[in-house]
Amino acid sequence: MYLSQLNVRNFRQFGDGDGDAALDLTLERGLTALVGRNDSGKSAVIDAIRYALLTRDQDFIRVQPEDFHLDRTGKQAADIFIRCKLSGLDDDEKGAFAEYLSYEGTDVSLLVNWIAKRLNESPGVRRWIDVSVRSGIDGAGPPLEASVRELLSSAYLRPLRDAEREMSPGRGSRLSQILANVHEIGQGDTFSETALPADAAAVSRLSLLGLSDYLRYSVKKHKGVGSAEEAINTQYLSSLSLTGDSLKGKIDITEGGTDKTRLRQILERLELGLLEASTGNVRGRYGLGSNNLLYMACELLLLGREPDGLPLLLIEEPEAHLHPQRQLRLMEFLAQAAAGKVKDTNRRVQVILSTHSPNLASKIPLQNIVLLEGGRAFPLIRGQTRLETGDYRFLERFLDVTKANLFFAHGVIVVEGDAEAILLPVLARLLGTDLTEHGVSIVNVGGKGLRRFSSIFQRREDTAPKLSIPVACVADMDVMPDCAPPILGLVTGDDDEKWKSSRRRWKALRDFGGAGKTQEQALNEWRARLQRNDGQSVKTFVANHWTLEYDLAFCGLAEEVYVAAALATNDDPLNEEKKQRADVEAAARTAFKEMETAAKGDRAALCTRVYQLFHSGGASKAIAAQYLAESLAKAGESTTCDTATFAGKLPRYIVDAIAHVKRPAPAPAPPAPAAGNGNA
Amino acid sequence: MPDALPLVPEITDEDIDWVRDLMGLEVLDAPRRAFLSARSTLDVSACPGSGKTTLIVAKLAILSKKWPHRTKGICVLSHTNVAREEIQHRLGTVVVGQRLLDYPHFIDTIHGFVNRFLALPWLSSNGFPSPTIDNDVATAYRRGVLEKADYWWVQKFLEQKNSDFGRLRICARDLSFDLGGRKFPAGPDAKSFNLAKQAIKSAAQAGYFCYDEMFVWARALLEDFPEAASWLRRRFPLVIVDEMQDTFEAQGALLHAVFPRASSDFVVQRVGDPNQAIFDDADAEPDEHDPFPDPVSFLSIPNSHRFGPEIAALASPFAVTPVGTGGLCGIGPKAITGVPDSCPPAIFIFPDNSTAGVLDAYGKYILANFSDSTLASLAVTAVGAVHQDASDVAPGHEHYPKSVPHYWSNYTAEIARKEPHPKTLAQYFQAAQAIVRDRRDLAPGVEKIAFGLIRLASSVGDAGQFKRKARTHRAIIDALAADATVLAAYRQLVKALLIDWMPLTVANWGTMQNSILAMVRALCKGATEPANAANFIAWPGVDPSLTVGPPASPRDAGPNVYRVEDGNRRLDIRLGSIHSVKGQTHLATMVLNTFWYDHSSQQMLPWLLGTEVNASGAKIRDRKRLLQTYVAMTRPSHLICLAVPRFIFGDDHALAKHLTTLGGRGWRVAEIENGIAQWRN
Repeated sequence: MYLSQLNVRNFRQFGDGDGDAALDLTLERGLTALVGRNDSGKSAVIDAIRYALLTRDQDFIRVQPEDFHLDRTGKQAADIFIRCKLSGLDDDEKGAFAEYLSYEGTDVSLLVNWIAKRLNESPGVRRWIDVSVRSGIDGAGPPLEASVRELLSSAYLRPLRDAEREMSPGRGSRLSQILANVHEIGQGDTFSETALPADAAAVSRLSLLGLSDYLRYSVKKHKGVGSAEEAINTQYLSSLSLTGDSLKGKIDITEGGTDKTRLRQILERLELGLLEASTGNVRGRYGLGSNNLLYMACELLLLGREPDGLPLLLIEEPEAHLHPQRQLRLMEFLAQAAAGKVKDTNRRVQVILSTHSPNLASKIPLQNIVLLEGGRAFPLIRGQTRLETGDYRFLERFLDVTKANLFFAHGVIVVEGDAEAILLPVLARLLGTDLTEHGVSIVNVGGKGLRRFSSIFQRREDTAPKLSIPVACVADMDVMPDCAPPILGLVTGDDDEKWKSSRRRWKALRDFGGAGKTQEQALNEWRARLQRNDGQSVKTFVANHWTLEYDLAFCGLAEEVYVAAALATNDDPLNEEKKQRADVEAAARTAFKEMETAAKGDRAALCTRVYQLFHSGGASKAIAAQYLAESLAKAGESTTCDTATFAGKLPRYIVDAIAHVKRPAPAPAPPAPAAGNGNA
Repeated sequence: MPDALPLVPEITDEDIDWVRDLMGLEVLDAPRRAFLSARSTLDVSACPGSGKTTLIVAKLAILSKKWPHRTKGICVLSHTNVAREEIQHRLGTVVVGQRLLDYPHFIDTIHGFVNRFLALPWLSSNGFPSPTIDNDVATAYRRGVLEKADYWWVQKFLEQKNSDFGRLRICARDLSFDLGGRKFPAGPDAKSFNLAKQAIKSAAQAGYFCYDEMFVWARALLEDFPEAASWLRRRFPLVIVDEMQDTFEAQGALLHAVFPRASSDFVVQRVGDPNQAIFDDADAEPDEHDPFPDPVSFLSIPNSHRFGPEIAALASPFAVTPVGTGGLCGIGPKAITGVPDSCPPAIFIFPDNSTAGVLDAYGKYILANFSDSTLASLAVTAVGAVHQDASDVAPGHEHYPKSVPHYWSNYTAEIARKEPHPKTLAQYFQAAQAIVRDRRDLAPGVEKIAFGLIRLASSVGDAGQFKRKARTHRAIIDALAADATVLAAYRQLVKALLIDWMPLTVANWGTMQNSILAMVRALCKGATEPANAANFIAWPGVDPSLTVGPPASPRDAGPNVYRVEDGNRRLDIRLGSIHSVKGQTHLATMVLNTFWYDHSSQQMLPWLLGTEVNASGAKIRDRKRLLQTYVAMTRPSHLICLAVPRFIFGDDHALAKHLTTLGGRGWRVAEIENGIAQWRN
C-alpha cells in the first residue's frame, strides 16, 4: 500500500484551481523528493499529508487559521480539502480496509478525504474549525475511525529535529515503540520464585520481563530493604495505629499492572547511544547530525518491520546537520529502503522527503523528483516531461551537485562553456541585473546536452500547467564570416577544394543561401533549427554570428576581448610573475591598434583576427573570460559607465537572454511566514 | 513473525475460569464450555434461557483479551438491532470487551454487514449519492416522484392484483424491479410498469432504497470483484452469527458466499435456536440450502437457566425440533431468587364475545401469588401472535378475538415493536419520549425527534442536504443557525417533549403543528408543499392516551402498559406481540389467543393437551404457530398463563374432559364470568 495521489484545495499557497492553482500530485512507490525554492509549497505538501494521514509521533495537529488559503484578492477560503489516495493494497490490506474501499473500474483504492471548515466568522467569537475525515469517492464512504487513522499514520521527521531528545528514554519514547515491534523482544523464559535460576546461564535465558521480576524479587530479599521495611512497620506504624486497625507498610519496586504495561515501562527506560565502532567506547555526546542518522535508521527499521499499516516516511530536510558526504550516504540508504532492499525488513517503505540540498537532489534519480513551483507540483517522472528515456540516463550521469541547484532557481541560464558561465554574471551586473539577487542559476553543460537540461523544465503536454521558471539556453551560431576560413588557414582561397569537402566541420556565411533562398532566409532557418526545442518557459538565444568571443568582439568589445585573449596566452608567465600584466596589456593594445588599421574598417576581418587567438593562438576561452570579466567589472566601477551605453556594446542575444530569466520587477511581497518553515 | 500467530487465539480452561469470575457466571456445563473454547466452524443450538448472549459475550471477552491482530477482527452478526445492541452493551460493561466495539472488529446486524462492506462501497463507487435506507422513506419518495394521479393509477392497479406500491423492490443491478419476489403483474409496455420504473429510477438516483435492495448492490460488488469475498475472509478469521434461526434465504445466501462454512481458512460459528425461528417479514422463508443447525453436527445446549422444570415441561412439546435428547430442561429460575420460585400455570377461559376481565384476572392471580419485591424485579407481559389494529373485527365476529388490541383497545402496534417504526410524526415524538424514559438517555430521543422532522421535511420539499449527516439533530441546528426564531422554536420543541414531558394530546398537537411546519420550511431548500405530508403530520386516528410520563418511577405505566389495581397494590402488564418479546425474560407471560387463518389456541390445543409433541406432521401454518407459542411460553421465569376463548374447548362435556387432562398436566383453569375469574380446578 502506498500513497499514490494527493489532491489539495485551499490549503496555504494552494488554491482551488479557479483562482490560484490547486495541487494535484501523483506519487510513485518508493522515493519521492520534493524540491523547490522556499515558499514553493514543499512544507505545505508534507503538512497536507500529515494533516490527512496523521503522524506516529502523535503530535497534536491543530488546524491554524492561516492554513486556509488566501486568494489574490485577500479573500480567505472557508474550507480546506485534502485527499490522499492509497493504492496497491494487498489482499490483507483490502480486507483490513474493506468498508472504506473505493472501486473505480478495476482499480481498488482507499481514499482519505480530509475536510476542514471554518465555522465561526463573527468577530469576538472563538474560532472554531470543524474537521471531518471520510473515506470513499467524494467522501461518500464511512468516516475513518481513530484506530484506522492510526494504521494509516505516517512516520514524520520534522526539520531541525532534536534527534537526541527523540531517542532518549521516557514515556512513549520512540525507541520503546520501535523496540516493542522487534519480534525477539518478547522472547525468553519467565521468572518463577519457586524455581530460581540456578546459574548465570539460566539468568541469561530470562526474558526482559523475567529479568525485571528477578530484580524485583532480589530487591525484596535485599537485607537493607527488608530491615527498613521492618523498622517502618514495627517502630513507627505500630505505635501510630489504634487497636484493631493494623497498618502495614511494604517496600517494593513500582511497576504497572499487565505484562504489556510492564514491558513497555522497561523499554521506556532504555536509551540508544552511539559508540565508536572500532573501540566500542561511549564517546560522550555525538553531534546532532549523527543522532539524526540514528533516528532515521530507527524509523526505517520500525516501518519496514511492522506487519500492517501504511509504511510511509515523511522527512523534511534530511540534510539537516549532515555534511555533504553523509547526505549522499543517507540518500543512498533511503533509496534502498524505498526499494525494499534493506535486510531484515519485510516490506518497501515509501519515502517522501523535501530538500533544499543540491547535494541530495543530485543523488536522487530525476524520475523521483517533484519540482514545486508557483503553487504547483511538477513530477519529473518519465512521460510528464519532454525528456526521453535516454535523456534520463544521460542526466543521471551528468546532473551533478553544481548543476542540481537548477531545481532551486528562480531562473536558469544553460550555457555551453566556461566562458559563458564566467562572463554572463558580470555582463548581467553591468546591465543592472544581479543574477544572484534574482535567484538565477547558470548551468554549464560543457558543450553536451544543452537541450536535455532545458527539457527538464518542459512538460510533455503543452496544454498542461507549465513551469514558470524562465530558462534561457545560450548557444553559439557557429557561422563564420566568409573571410574567416582563409584567415584561420582552413582554406587557401575561395576555390579551395576543402569548401566542397563533406568532412568539413565548420560553416561559413557563403554556405547559406542559394537554391531559391536568400542568405538571410537560410540563416534564419539554421537559427530556427537551433531553437527547435523551445517552448513553454524555455527559450534558446543564439549568437548573432559565430561564438560568444567573436560576437562580443564584433559588437563593440573587440579590444577588450583581444586584450583578455592576450593575457590568457600569457597566463603562465603572468602567474609565475615572469611578465607584468601592464606590459602584456600595453603590448596587446598596440597590437590591436595595428590590426584595426590593417583591417581598414572590415569588422569581420578584424574580429576574426581577434578570435584567431582562441582558434589557433593558444588562448584558453575560460581564462580569457576571467580576464575579460575582471576588466569589465573594473570598468563598470567607473562613473562614466552607464548601462544603456554598455548594453549597446553587447550582442543582442546576451541582453535578451538575461532579460528572459530576470524576474519581472518589482518582486511580489513574500508570502505569509506561516507558509514556510521559518528556516529560509 | 506475525504469520506464525494463530488466526484465532487458543482458549484454555484458565481463560474460561477467568471469564466466569469476571462476569459472575453460573457453573458452566460441558456443552457451554465446549462452545466457549471452540476454535473451529460449529453450529450451536441453544434453548431459550440458555444464556446464549451471555456465552457469546463471555467468549468475546476472552478473545478480546487475547486478540493479537491490529487489522483482523471478529465479526459478530445478529439478526436484529436489539440483539446487536445487547451484545455491544454487555461487552461495553467488561473493560476488555470494549476493544471489540471498534475497528478492526465488527458487531452489527447481517444487514449492517452487507451495507457497510459491500453495498455502500459499491453504491458510492458507482456514482450514487449517500443512500437513505428505509422501506417507508423510500416508498414515500417513490410515491412523491409521480404525479398524484399517476401514483393512484399504479396503486389501484397493484391493489387489484393483491399487492401494493410499497412492495415495489429493485431486484437487479439494472434497476429492474418486482414486488418482493413476485413478478410485476404487467409488461414493459404497460403504463403502470413505466410509471413504477420511473419512480424506482428517480428514487435510486436520489439514493432512496429499501432495506432488502441492499442485497442487490452487495451482489453487484461481488460480481464485479469476486475477490472481495476473500478480502473479507482475511479481515475476519472468526465470524459468530447470533440468532441464526432468523436468517432468511437472501441473507443466508450472501453470508454463505462471503463466509462459506466448508472453508478451513477461517471459522464460522452459528448460534441460535431453530425452535424460535419467527420472522419479521411474513413472507421470509428460512434458508433451506444451508439449514441451521447443520443436521450432521451441532452442539446442543438444552438446559435453561430461565425457568424451572415445570415451565420446561409445558413448553417442550411446542418445540418444532426436539430439544436435546431429553427435551427442554429447566434448571432455573436463576435470574431472580424469590419465593415462590414458580407458581401453578393458569388458563383463563373467557366468553367468546368478550375479553373483559382477562387481563385483570391475570393481574390479580399474579398479585395473589407474588410479593411486590418479586414483582419489581421482572416484567409481567401479555403477548399475542397478531397485534395489528383489528378494529374491523368486532366482538361476536367469528375471528374475534383476533389481535392484541381486542384485549385492550388502547394498544398501538406501531410503537410496540422492538424497533419502533413510527408512521406519523406524532408517533416519532412518542417513540422519542419512550426511548428517553426507557434508556434514560436524552440523545437517542433527540435524534428520534430530529429524524421525524427530517422525514417530514423530505416529504414536503428538498431536504437532501441532511441525508449524509450522521447526527441529524446537529445538522438541524446548523441548518437553522441563520434563523434565530426558528432555531429557538426547535430547541423549545425538544425541551417541551423530552424535559418538560409535555403530553401529546390532540389539543397540544393542534397548537404545535404550525410551528413544526415553519421549522420544516426553514429546513427545505426551495419551495415546499405541506399538503404532501398531510397524513404524516396528522394526529394519528385513535387517541391512544399514550402520554409518556416523565421517568419518575420505573413502575410508571407507559404506552401499551395495562395497569391492574387490587386494593392498594398495583401491577403493570406490558402488552405486545410475541415477536417483540423475543429474547426477553419475564416474570410471567400470558399468551393471548389471536387469529391468523385460524384461532391460535384452537390449532395449538393438541399440543396443549399433550396429544401432539413437536412438529411431527404439523402443517406449515401450524409450524409457525408452534414456533410462536414456543417463544411465548419460554419467556417467563415463574408463571405461564393462557387466555383462551370458551368455544375452543367445545361443549360442556368436552370442557370437563379437557379440564381433567389439563389439570393432570399441572394447569389451573379459571373461567371469566362477568369479568370475574372463577376457578374450575
